[in-house]
Amino acid sequence: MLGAFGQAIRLLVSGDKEVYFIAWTSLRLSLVSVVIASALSLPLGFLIGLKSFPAKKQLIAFLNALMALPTVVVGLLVYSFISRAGPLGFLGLLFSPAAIHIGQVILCFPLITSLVYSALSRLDQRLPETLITLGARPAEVFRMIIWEGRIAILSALLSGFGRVVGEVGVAMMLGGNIRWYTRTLTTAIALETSKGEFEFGLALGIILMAIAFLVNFTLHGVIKHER
Amino acid sequence: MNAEPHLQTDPLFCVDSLRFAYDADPVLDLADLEIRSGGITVLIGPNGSGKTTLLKLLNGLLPVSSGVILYRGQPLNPQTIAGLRSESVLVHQDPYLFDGSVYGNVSYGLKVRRTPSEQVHQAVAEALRRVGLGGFEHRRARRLSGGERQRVAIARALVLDPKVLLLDEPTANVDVETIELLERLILYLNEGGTTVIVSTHHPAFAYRLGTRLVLMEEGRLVAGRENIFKGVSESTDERFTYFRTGAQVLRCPAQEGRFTTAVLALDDVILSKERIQTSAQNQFPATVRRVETVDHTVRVSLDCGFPVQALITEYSVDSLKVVPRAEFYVTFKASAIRLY
Repeated sequence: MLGAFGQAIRLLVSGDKEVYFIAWTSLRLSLVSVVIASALSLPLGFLIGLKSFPAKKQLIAFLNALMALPTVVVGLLVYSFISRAGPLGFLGLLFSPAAIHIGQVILCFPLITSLVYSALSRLDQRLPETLITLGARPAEVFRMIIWEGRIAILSALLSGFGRVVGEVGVAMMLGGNIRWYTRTLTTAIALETSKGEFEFGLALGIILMAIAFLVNFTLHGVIKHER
Repeated sequence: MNAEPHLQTDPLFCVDSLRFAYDADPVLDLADLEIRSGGITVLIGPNGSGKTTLLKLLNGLLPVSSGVILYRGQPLNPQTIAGLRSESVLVHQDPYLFDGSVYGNVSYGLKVRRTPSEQVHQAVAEALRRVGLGGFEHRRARRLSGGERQRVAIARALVLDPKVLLLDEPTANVDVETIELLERLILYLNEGGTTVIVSTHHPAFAYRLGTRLVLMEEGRLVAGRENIFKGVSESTDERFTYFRTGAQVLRCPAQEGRFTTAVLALDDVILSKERIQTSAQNQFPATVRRVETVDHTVRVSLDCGFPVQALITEYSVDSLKVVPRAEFYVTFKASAIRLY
């Protein structure tokens, strides 16, 4: 274990370009997937959290069920659509970053939506009433609710990030673990471990954890500074 | 109620057959209620009497599902709500303050109205000065005391110069100093033409401020059982405090201070055909204006240089022949009067 720590530090300080590229690919793919998912999750989370509509309970139950989807199953499903023989095969998406994004968005979308919805359903009812009585229009109410609920929304986004940055099923099945292209920290760890390079795999795992902690601490730090 | 100095004749709000329920739980059932421009209407009643719900309905924060609310003659609905919103502000009991500075809170309504920033600075400073929080602009709003938070919420409302100010229990959980400041502020705003509708548990606050008291119980309006005389205490000697209301001076229990409201229970008022020899210190000739029967008791409205109401039995109405325009004497004891 200590050897793995030492190797992780050596990998980072030695400036191994491939390790940096793999780490950057993991970070970039995960962040972009979370941004895309949040563009869908935030409005839907707001809709469920703040409005009443038919079949709302069924939608919440469906989202909760989706949260438990195994990554490999998502990988398989998307694979069946975008493989050469699949209905979207003509787009040539398989084994590309775009394919990984599709899978990762499907993975984190229900989680972020559910967390945003649950945060907003606990929202102090006086906030929207105060905004409306002070003359805020719907867009301004929406913006201010995001601002006032930013901690809970940030937690939801970080949970989504955690879900995708550490997953291997989608990245492996849809990205193909292609060197200098779609290889991420998780697929690299799987590869190194299968080759018997446990220590190297563990070192990559430590780098992965360091990235996850760094993203969390940075965003929480920004919010704390704002407050 | 007798004195409504700033009251105008046009009804601001007309409520008709208004019912409201949270899910299946009915909380409000108002047959009719009219609130005129320019007064201070005080909603008074116990917890759960529907005061907050009524204020939210009058501010358009809750939808009118059954019955009608007219605002300046227009029924409140999604098409007409903008007019109401631009003129009225509700301040909640235990108000929600936004995360950030006092300035950010007080300036919010002006910013959403796209007011130029120079005007915003001036208006915020003036509103904070008005609530006794001058120089508080950069303080963190949520770190203030309960009374200060209430004042920030009121400054946030009055910076918008509303024509209608709705205050939900502003006296709850605040110190005496804040209550006194609120009273001065409400009177000042009302003198400037703002119609104030305020709910409270605090009887003294209600009596001192209200140009009209609306009593509520279990979601319904109930008839008041007290006369509330507006006026001023003129002098005090060792026996009485002399309180002028309308064209008369009432003898009240001697007490030091300046009073603007005298309260007398309706059933403490005695009607007689002749002047009577009695220990009661207040006796005035009066003309009957109106006679209404409510639940086997009769409410008689009279004019004796100020309006007064008495509660008597149907038997007394028949035996004394109490009819409109009949002449009577009204008598009540000095000790029955409470001064505020």
